[in-house]
Amino acid sequence: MGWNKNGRSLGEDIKILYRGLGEFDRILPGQLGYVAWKSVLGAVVPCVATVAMAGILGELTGGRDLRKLLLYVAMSVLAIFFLTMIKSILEARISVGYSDLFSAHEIHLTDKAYDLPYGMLESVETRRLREQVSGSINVSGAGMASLYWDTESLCGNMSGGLAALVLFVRYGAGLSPGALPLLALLATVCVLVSCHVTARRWDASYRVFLEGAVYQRYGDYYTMNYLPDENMGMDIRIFAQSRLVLEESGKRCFEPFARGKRKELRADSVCGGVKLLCVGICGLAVYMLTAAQALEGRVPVGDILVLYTAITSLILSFSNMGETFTDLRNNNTHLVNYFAYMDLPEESSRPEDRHDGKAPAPLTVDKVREIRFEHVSFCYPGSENSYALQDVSLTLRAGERLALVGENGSGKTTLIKLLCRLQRPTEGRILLNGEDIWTYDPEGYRALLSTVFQDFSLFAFSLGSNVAACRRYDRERVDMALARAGLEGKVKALPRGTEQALFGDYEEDGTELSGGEAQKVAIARALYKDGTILILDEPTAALDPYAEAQIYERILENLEGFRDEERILLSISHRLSTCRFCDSVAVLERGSLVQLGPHDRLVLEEGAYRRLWQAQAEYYQ
Amino acid sequence: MKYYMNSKDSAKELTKISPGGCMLPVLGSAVRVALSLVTLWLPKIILDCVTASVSIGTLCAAIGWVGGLWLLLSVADHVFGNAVTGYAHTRLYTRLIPAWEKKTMELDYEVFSSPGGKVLMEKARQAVSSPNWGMVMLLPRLTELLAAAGGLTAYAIVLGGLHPLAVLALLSLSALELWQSIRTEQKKQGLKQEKAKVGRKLNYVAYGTRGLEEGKDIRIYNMAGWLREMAQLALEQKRGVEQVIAGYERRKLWFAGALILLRDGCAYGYLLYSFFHSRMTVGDFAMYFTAVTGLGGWLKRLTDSISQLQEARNYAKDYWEYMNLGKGSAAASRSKEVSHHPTIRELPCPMGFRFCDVSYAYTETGEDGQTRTHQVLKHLNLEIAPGEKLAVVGANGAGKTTLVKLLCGLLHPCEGEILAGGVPSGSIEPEEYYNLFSAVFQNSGVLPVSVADNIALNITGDVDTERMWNCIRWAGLEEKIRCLPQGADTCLNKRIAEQGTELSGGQLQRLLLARALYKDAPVLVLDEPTAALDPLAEQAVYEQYRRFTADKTAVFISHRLASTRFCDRIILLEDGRVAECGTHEQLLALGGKYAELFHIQSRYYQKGKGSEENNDWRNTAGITPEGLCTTGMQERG
Repeated sequence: MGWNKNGRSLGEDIKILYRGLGEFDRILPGQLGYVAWKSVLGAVVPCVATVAMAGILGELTGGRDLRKLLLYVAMSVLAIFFLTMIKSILEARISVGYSDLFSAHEIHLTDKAYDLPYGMLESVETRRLREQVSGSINVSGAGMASLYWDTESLCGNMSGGLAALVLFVRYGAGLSPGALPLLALLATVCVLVSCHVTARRWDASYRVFLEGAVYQRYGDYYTMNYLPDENMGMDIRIFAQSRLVLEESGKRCFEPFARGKRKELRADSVCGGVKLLCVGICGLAVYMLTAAQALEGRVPVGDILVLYTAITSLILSFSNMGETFTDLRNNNTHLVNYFAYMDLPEESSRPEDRHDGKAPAPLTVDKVREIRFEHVSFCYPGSENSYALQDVSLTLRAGERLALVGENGSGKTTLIKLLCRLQRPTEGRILLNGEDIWTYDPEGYRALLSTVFQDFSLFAFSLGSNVAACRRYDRERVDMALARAGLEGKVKALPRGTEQALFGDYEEDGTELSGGEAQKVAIARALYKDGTILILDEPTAALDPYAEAQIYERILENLEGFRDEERILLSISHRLSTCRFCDSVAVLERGSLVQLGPHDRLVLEEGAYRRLWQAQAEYYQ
Repeated sequence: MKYYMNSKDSAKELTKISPGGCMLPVLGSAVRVALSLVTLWLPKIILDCVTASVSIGTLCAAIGWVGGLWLLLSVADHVFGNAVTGYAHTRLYTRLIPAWEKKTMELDYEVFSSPGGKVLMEKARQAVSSPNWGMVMLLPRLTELLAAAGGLTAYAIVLGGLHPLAVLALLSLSALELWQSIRTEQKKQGLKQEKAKVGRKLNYVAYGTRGLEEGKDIRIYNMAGWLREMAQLALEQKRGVEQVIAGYERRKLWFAGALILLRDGCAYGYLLYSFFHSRMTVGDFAMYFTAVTGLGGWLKRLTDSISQLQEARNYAKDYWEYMNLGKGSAAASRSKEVSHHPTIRELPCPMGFRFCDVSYAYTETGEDGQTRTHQVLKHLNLEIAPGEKLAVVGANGAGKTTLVKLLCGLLHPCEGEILAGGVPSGSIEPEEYYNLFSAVFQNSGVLPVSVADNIALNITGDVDTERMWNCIRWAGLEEKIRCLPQGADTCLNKRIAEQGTELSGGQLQRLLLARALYKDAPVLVLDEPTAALDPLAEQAVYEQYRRFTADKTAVFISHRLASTRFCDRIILLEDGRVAECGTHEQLLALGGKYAELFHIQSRYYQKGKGSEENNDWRNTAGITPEGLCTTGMQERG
């Protein structure tokens, strides 16, 4: 048996485990203590019962003193009663904690996600890591959940083993001098053999489990996403996909699942059988030895039972401990992922200026005069040789309105992410009033932004708190923002007004929103925040022409009140018609800024904008 | 009686899935009962041998024989336990769930997409979704039930040897405990709604928002504090309810503890009395006491396994209800009435269609549980000539997509009839009828298989490579596919397939188009195929539209009126009827709804209008009839 497992030494594994236990205590404070004490009590109760029974049997064959007998009975019965009472109190606490375990764990992970720099949050690696960490507990019940169950098993078996050892030594002392070492030797051999086979059995399960993630993923996808979907249902029928899907899901999920399961169960039958044989042989040996000595009158009859219980529970406890320990070491793979996620650098801990490493006091903004992109390039991590944005330079002055246009994937949204300080330019700088935006205080800078992303998100909490983005909000201001976004009618129709929850996910009586209404709530949120820089990313993509017209009407109306010396508007839309509302148009093509100027001029110039414009306008002439 | 019916029905259920499977529970439970009896017997034998001062040889022989039997049985019990689990996992689970998949794919689409059908489908899925619970548990639960019944009987017989009334007394004590636990369950039931409410809230804060997709907004609007507060609030509320429930449980355990105190005290008392007043051996004393504590355990296991088996059977009921769906229904009888099912080859090509007085209504179940019908098409008459390129326009909710679904045979008219090539569409076998169509529907997706398989959708794996590449080229996806690491053999859907790739919305739409072209069916149906494309790509699709549809009948649905110019004829659906019909020029000249819709869309593309036109536009938008287009996402079109 080597000490290295899964590429980690024993010491490393123990360190990870220790850290894991500490982290668990942060997710569910105090829980592990209850679990440990409960399992200790659970291990002690049967020992008390056996010792009492041995005493009674000994007295029955020996002195037959009724007073002594009754004392034994009373002690046994009452001790068990009180231990059970204490155990039930602990159990009540544990069940409360356990019911929170999975959600509290997920909330803990989400807490961390809030603190990650957006660029990191968005990367495929982080997403995958998060899926793994969530999946290890939610799908496989491993990771932190294993710590919980294994603590119970480890503490229970440790105290059970200890109690058994005490009983073994105490009651074995009466045996003939040769018997005790012989039993000890036998027990040691059995413990080693059963530890070895259980470790093998758990390793087999673990291997099956590792492979299992793949078929679980395929199986869930087919049965939960693809097949029940109304839209896919049409394709399945029209394109006769039935046979292909059945073959694929058989090949990817059910056949490997059955193979893995058979392997696991075969290992369990063999290893479990060997373990049972070990325990049984030891137990029978104890019976033989002690019964023979009891025949000679060397030990009391009752001790036969105590010694039998002691030796079998000794072997079981030790091999279970071995089993649990193997499981914990395998489980450390999940914990390593967990800590990899938890140790991701947080936004605030990033040096503000990466060029010279020293962090000057962050700047604060008083007034926006100008935003300048200076030779800004950006490529997403993992695709280092293809630029999402390349050498873009442009200036936005206070009070200006800019439209960003370009084909799919031309870098429009990337440009906005850079401006919002969600991603950091790979090369070049974005300057606000002449200073790099990354040198400003993060909170202060973000306070300037009112952005409506294409894939904006609303939460299932109250409408008002969604607009204000906090729990307690200024009702008057919320009402005003909603009115300006064109939702007065909707609010009036809601029984609880702005207190009404959105969607049915959180409150049962939440109101559903149509695509247009959701869009307007997102706009209201931007208006409520009243940032100096208003950014609209495809605000009408999901809407039909009439709804689109309505939204733009609203935005325009608002802009009239919005147009002062400072405010800046940046808008992205596929429908080039929006460009007419703006002072200038920036045309992006494959990440580069190819044209910049007012609509009226660009539409006359030969170039990308004219091509795009005509592709749409042609049919409407 | 109930117990008997229960196990009989479950056995029947099992033989339905796989005959022979019910032998395992019988053998497995017999072994378990035998094991528990020998476990009870072994210490007694030894104690009796010792107290009777037998010879050492007799002692060894007794321990050897009984102990050997005990060893054998304990290993056999373990192996049988695994066999039962293995059978449930590898035979039942892996048969039930593919059968569900097959059913889901072959079920009549109208039933499949109806609210009732979805509920049944989901319930059946849940019934077989896991090898560890649900319907699969029939087998292990049945084993447990049989073992518990056997064990209870065996222990009762053993204790009957002590005193017949002892069994009765013990059973009454257990009944008292059972009564208490039923009361606890009832109290918990009272909290069920409260629990569901806090559970839903916690579920939302934990899994509904995970800080990933929402990341941008959370940062820009500084929402982390708010979301953390809401999460803590939900956790606290959940904890509050759980604490009350845990209190009930704790009281139940105390009651049970007190009963055990009473039981053990009485048992010891009676056994001591018997020991001193009758000829009871020490071995009997130990055995009876163990049997006393064991009897309650068997009873508890019996009641537990009865309710668990009932649960498994409820799942089985859900499963069969779904699997038997559509057998002997209208759709099945409709096709049976006709003795001759025409095949595609017998029908004219290209194909023409006629909608004769077709009405269609969706049935919806409202929040109050009442069903309402939502009439989408009303006595619609429409003729699609063979080879015609038809465009369908109209506002959201006008019935465009329903029309297409009816045409493709996915839905069946509530009234009226659809003739395909002069034959009633219902008389053609569904699979044969589907072969007539190639389609790009809205919101379609791809399978996590290779690009080639996604286009050819062929299990034999022989893809016509040349045709596939032609279709990819026509759809404008060649450059992208050539760039993929394994070309057309690259898997799609990165989330599922390990080395898969992900397509953007526009690329996906092109792939779906390539797939539809590859199928090369006589009728091509395109439902908003360019919504996710940028203007240049959209234009490219329009320009090639004629070539795609040569020698085919084609139906094109679009919001953007621009696209309709490429079609022979345009119909405008409104309120479930064909409101206007003609070519683009004819409809513009007509000056009706079509013209109005066109003007809204084209306003900004007119030449020579400056920003002062904004006011003018705002006014006209204001007077646009509300009914023309409804505000909202693309709902059921």
